[in-house]
Amino acid sequence: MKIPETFRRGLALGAPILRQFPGLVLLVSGYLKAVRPPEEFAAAMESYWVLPVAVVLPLARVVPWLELLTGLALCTGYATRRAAFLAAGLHAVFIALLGQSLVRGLTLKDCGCFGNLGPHLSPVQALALDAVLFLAALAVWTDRENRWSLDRWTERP
Amino acid sequence: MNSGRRRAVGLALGAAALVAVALGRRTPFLADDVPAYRQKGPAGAPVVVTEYSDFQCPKCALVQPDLKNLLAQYEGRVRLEFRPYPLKSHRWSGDASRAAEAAGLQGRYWEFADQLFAHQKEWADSPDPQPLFKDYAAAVGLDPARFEQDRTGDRVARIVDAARAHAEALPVPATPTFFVNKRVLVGDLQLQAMGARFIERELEK
Repeated sequence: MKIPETFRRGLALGAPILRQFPGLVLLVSGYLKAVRPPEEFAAAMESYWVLPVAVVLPLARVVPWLELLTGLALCTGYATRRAAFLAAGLHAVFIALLGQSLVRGLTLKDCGCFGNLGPHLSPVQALALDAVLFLAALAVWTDRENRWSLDRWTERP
Repeated sequence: MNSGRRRAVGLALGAAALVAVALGRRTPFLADDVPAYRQKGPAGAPVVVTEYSDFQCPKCALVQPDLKNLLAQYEGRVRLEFRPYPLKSHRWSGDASRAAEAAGLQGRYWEFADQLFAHQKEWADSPDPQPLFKDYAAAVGLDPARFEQDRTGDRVARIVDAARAHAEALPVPATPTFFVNKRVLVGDLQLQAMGARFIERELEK
């Protein structure tokens, strides 16, 4: 798909700011979960009733680190396009999880996105936030200029 | 592309994340202030299971048979410490916790707690559960006058407020939450799936 030139230019200018939104959210949510025992995040995931307990705990160890490192990469502009793709993938998974919980009528008071220490969002609020961040991450992924990024800096001779 | 610089930057970012998480991690502080009437099992047991529970929380009631089976399985090697965490979102939790403390002062904490969990729906849905608490007190053989005096007194109120403040400060993420020594299990499902494994690991140390 060919991206119009004006859109491409605008995106190149806006991408360094745009990528801070999914970057910061992933950085904060990952950090707040990574500093707590993984069993806490595992319990939040169990409330979605999608995966068995045996699978949830290993995932609860990995996902916060994935969020944290992806967020850090996006904020600093390191491996930006890969990080943006990963961020879009993470948000797509979160959207699917939250969506199925709403369709099934599960009454979750807290989405568990920020662990026990951060803001407590309802599934509807989290779904809206994830949708916006998913689109932002996709937009960043389409930008190939990577202005104001560590990628640019490391590419210098 | 300067691949050496790129690799160094990647490593620096990863190291920064590791250091930040290591600095942010805290070992749970489990104060040694659980009164004797809320402890079950030998004093020098190698494993202490600390239960944070809310009498009005359905999962806390649901998990009781599993917890009792676990304690029976490791009898003599595990001590249970019960810490009430009356959630503010539950209307009668605080009253139930105060009633249980009053029962504890007469040495009948566990019997009264069993009554509260067994009849949870009855008192939780009641517009005024106080008469029901008196019935449960009578059923476990408490002195009714002393029970009433303690239940409504300042001493018990202070104990319950302190227990709630402790749980909030930790913070306990949900009820029920269990610590097997210092390892956490959140919820009934995790206790069922991993409780025995966690105890075995602690016993092997």
